[in-house]
Amino acid sequence: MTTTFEDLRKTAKLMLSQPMTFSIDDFVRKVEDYVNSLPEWRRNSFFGCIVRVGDTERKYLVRYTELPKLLREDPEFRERYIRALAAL
Amino acid sequence: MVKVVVCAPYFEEATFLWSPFLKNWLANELKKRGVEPVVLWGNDCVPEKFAEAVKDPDVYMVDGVGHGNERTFTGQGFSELLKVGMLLGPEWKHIFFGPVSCLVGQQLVPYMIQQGVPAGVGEETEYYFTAAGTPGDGSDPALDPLEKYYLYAEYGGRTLPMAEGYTAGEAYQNMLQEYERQAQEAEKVDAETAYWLRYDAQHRKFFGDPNFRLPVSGVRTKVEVTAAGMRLASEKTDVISVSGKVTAEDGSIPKGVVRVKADGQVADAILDANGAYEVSFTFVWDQNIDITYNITVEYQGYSNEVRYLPSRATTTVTVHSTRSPSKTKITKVTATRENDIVHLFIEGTVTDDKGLPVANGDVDILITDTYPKRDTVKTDANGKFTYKCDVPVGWLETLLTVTATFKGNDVLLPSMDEVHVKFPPNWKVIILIAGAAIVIIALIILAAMLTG
Repeated sequence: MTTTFEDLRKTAKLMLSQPMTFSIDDFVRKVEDYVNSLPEWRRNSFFGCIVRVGDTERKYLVRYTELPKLLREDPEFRERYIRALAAL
Repeated sequence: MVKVVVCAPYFEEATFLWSPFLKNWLANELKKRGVEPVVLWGNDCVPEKFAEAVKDPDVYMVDGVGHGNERTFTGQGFSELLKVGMLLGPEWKHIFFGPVSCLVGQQLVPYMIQQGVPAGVGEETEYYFTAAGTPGDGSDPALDPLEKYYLYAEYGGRTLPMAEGYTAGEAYQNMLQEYERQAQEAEKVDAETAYWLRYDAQHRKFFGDPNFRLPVSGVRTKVEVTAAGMRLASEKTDVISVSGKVTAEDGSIPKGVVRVKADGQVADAILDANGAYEVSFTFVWDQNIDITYNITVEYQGYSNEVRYLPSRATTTVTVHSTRSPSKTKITKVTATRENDIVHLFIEGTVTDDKGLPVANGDVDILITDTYPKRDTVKTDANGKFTYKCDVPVGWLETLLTVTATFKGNDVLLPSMDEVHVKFPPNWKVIILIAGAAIVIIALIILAAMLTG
């Protein structure tokens, strides 16, 4: 089944309200499903923010195809992302 | 001449995607409004050059972009242009701070206001965005089909109105409305982009004096716009008429030209002696459905004895479908069970709003059970459609839903009908299974008795 952006938002909300419902792996897999469901031009587009982190080497703007990897490897970005997804 | 310092660092992906639009599109739009952009591009966007630029007494606004966090705003290579604790010189007493940057609304912008900066806007969280990564030369936001929404909302909604004489508070409110309008536009293409636009707008906060205004010289103007649409169904076109007038704050009548944009079409109109204008557009459509057109009217400003400042307005107009209602009716369903298969026969009619048969219409048939079955049939000259198929059913009670949907055509709207067909359990199979189970149990008991 295809994961929509709305599904991602619902998952993020559940992760914050009921932390035991989804594991990080489950969440990142959903992001992967979502990214894979996007048309090719959109998969190759960019997502990120204009933030400066203490470690200036850190990159918070990636192509969608790289988003699952960033979420897996960077817990700080992952937490910011989940909170932002659940915000509205 | 009023100047705006535009921070445009250019050293990694985020700024590669964003800053070209500041250097070319935004700078050019500011010039059109008689405001001089001082673009700090790439290696010029560093602390020494930034400090030197803002010392110019004609600078009244700092805008653009820069990576940020709660306490700092940075330029090229993350060099710190502003940070909490930095003493701001007297030049900052008349400078509005508005760049797009993450988190600076938490501590940095409030700190700057305490230091005497009259007003500013700052993001309280991260400023997220999506971009196709196609900035080209940055001369037109439309070059990037995703990023354009953010650029129109932020700079088109706030920076440019301030250059047109809006107060900071008016420009901020206009920006929030523009974010929502752009989100509605983005929603048609990409739900995610619409979400981030709304997220950014919600966390973009205003600080300081809402009455602060750039001392742009000239008379403020206002565009009034009304739009009407008419559908010519036989020609498969919509005609959109846009009219209105441009008024001036001092009551005089502005001269000049308005540029009217309607969903990809552009027309210029010269204001008449009353400041009024009128243009029309023709759009060709494929489907006779409700269509909403977005209209933007930009008054370009005018300078002669009096300098009239530019202004703009937006509106939408929806042209409604001219199709009339149709009626779909399932008139007969016969179903015969043969073991675990049901032979289904469906018959129905499609009529128009006068009860006359609709010939050659497409009717979607949907039969839902565990495995949905779909097909499309055509109505005959009498508006009648028939369909037969075999549907596998289990031996327990089964409920099938049969839906027939006329898809509509150039003159008729779609319509549908639905019936439910219930099948009782297949008692033959149930008795057979129950009998077999009793025999097996009896055999087990017998075997147990014999083995002691």
